[in-house]
Amino acid sequence: MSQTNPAGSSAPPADQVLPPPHRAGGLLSALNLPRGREGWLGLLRANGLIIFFALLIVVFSLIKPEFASMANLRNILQSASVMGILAVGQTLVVLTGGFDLGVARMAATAGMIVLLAASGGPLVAVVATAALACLVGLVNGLLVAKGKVAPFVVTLGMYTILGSVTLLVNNGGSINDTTTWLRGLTSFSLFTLSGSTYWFFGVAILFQLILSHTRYGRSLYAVGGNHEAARLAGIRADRVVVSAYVLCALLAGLAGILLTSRLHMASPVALPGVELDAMAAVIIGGTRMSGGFGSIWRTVVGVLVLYSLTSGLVLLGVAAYWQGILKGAVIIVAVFVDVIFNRKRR
Amino acid sequence: MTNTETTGTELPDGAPSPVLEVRGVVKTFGAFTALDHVDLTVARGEVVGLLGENGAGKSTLIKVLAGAHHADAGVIRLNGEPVTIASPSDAIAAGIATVYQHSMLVGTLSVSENLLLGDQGRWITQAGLRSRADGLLAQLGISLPVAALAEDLSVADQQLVEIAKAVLAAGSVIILDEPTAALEQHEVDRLFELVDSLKARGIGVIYVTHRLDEVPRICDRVVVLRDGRNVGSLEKADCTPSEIIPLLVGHSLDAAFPELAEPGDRAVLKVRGLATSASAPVSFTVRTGEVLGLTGAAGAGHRELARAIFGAERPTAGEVLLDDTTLPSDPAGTSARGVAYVSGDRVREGLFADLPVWRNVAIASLRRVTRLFGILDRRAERRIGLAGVAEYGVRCSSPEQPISTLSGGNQQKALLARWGQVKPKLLILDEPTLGVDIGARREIYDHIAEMAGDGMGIVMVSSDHAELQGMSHRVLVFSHGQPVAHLTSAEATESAILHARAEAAPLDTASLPL
Repeated sequence: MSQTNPAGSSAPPADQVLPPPHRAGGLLSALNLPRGREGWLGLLRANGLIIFFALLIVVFSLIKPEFASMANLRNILQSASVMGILAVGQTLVVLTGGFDLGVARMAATAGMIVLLAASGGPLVAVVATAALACLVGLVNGLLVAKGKVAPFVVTLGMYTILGSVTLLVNNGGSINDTTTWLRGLTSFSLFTLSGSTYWFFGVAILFQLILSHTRYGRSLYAVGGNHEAARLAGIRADRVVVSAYVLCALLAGLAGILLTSRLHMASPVALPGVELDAMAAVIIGGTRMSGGFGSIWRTVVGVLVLYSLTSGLVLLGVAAYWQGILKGAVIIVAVFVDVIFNRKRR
Repeated sequence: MTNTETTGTELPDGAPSPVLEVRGVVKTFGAFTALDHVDLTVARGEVVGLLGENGAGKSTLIKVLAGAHHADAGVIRLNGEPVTIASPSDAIAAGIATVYQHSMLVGTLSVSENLLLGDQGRWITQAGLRSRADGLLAQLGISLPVAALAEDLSVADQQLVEIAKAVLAAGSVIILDEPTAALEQHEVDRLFELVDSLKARGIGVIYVTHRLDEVPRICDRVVVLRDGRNVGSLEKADCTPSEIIPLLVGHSLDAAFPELAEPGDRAVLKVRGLATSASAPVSFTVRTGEVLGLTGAAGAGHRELARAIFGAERPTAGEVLLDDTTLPSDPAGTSARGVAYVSGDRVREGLFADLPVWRNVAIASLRRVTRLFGILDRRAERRIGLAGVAEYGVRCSSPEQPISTLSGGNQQKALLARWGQVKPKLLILDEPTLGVDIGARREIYDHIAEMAGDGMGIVMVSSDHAELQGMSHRVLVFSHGQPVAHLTSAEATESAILHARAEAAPLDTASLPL
């Protein structure tokens, strides 16, 4: 163990001469700056996602100046908000190493329920919707944590069930909104940004703070990183997993209420396929699919990348049929880059 | 299949020819010599017991024969012909197959499919596979449901399938690596019958075991290794524990141990009739500042018992009292009450590989730094983590680096620091120095002694006899799920522990002194 070097002073132990590890920190490290040593290059490498996002904005703005207009920005943020809230919830579940396929249909169902119960007043309507979301999340979470059923299977089942529930609650018909309190949730606007944008940012900031500043947040990362080690460190790991599914369903419920509020109507077939967009946003953000690594900030950037891309492609006049190919390529590249980063880290 | 010659039906005659000869095998890892000119001969139809303490070189020798390690020097001859074993497939081609402790079967395939995997011919019919598998098992005298899925079989039955598969794949020499560690007594008898039928077929068997009591029953001869060298070979008539133990003990690793302070008078832990799926009801007490060692062969039940105290495993009966109040049986409940558990399986059960070192340390202390609404005092959290890193001498270039980049010894110190920062009343250590280099070992022992000195009760599961003797006040020895001996640290010499392990009569723990 003890070494001597020719100079006579004692050599540092092996661990002290290891190079500093590479951090694939992304936005997390942009806000939580690494302490020295890594320099600009390291920072650049660690923030690939932000750099990619910035490039996207700059390139689109240069080619089409109207991309950078306030009106377009406002549109991007407004249209991103419902999917963004779904993606925040999805991030919580993915951090535990899970997956929720049912978020968009949970939102569609919630959008119907809130209108059906709206005549009873805001409290009744919101409590009824939240209760349903809670139930859905609890069933998902308990089956995954206690029943040890694969998250994909559980939530595929719930996705199918909710698809039916949205049709059943109003016999397949959509509902038009006549309540003012519900519209009021999103009809305000501040500094030109629309109400739903504030909901999205509010939810994102709240949950990022929960992840980084609370014991619950630490537990979520620990359980996703190593479930058994977390359990043996005294964390109620199963409970943490269940809670992630419940929070995810509750956020989906909120997204559904906001969608109904903004559109002044609820449709049983709202948000088709959006669960996959939300998943894509989480993946582009770089939150690890196997759990334990990631953040809400990353997901927010992922959401903005996806919507900026769509908006930019539309402005450039790229045919709608081609947009899927480009978006799909971005998802695959994002994951590929993440794999390479992780390989380097080990 | 062209192994008719090697699995020939002729029985070994009076002067069995050696099927395997190992001469002067050397294997070094850096400056460490794991095998130093080791010899081993196995005759046709002979069962040779390969014995040695942890680190004596048994596993390295097996890995050389199985093609997992490449020997630096030496000759291996099979049926008189020198062979080069550079890969696992070379070993099998040469006729050597190894059956490891953990199952290598494909769980979702049937027994017959597993047996004939890779040798099914072009056109596969279930009926054809089954009749071939049935025929093969019948030759070996095994009856198993060949249509059942491998994962539905008991561990013992899976092992029989593995052995049958090994016979089929390589019929000259079969290495069994601690085959009885996970078996019940009646299953052991069935295994021995199978080994007898291998002998009758002229197959040479290398039988690795820690259980000295089974050696006289099954081995024709034993070869003992110590510190990578041959230290003796005993014929069947001499294969008794009292002959074997002097050869096993006294290895040169002489880690110095710190002085343990005298324990206090008050009992911090009382275990009352605690039983697990692997161990019979046991009662004992641990006082403040006392280190109780638990030991036994793999599968003896002592490890499960220690885990059950922490609630990591569900006890089947009994209760655990900490400071005279009953403990719950889940880790969250027991750790909130002041019980800590450092698992021997760092990677699976200890580390958060990607988290920084300091967060790995602070993770068990979060409750203490949680303020209103579950919000963390992040400064205090960091302070606890950094203090743990410093106090326990965890060497890292930065406490921010992921813990996976540290050496095993430093990871282990970080895990000790994780629980040391909680200041538990009872600390349960599971193989605290497994995979830890000698330098870090001494540091870990110093920390353990210091924690005991602070009045913590400590339960230490260990299979390292020097460590048990040097680092515990008392030692409970387990065998086959039962405590068989209770030794004070003066009595707990290596040979006393080994003698006790070979003992069959269970100890009545109700009569133990407190």
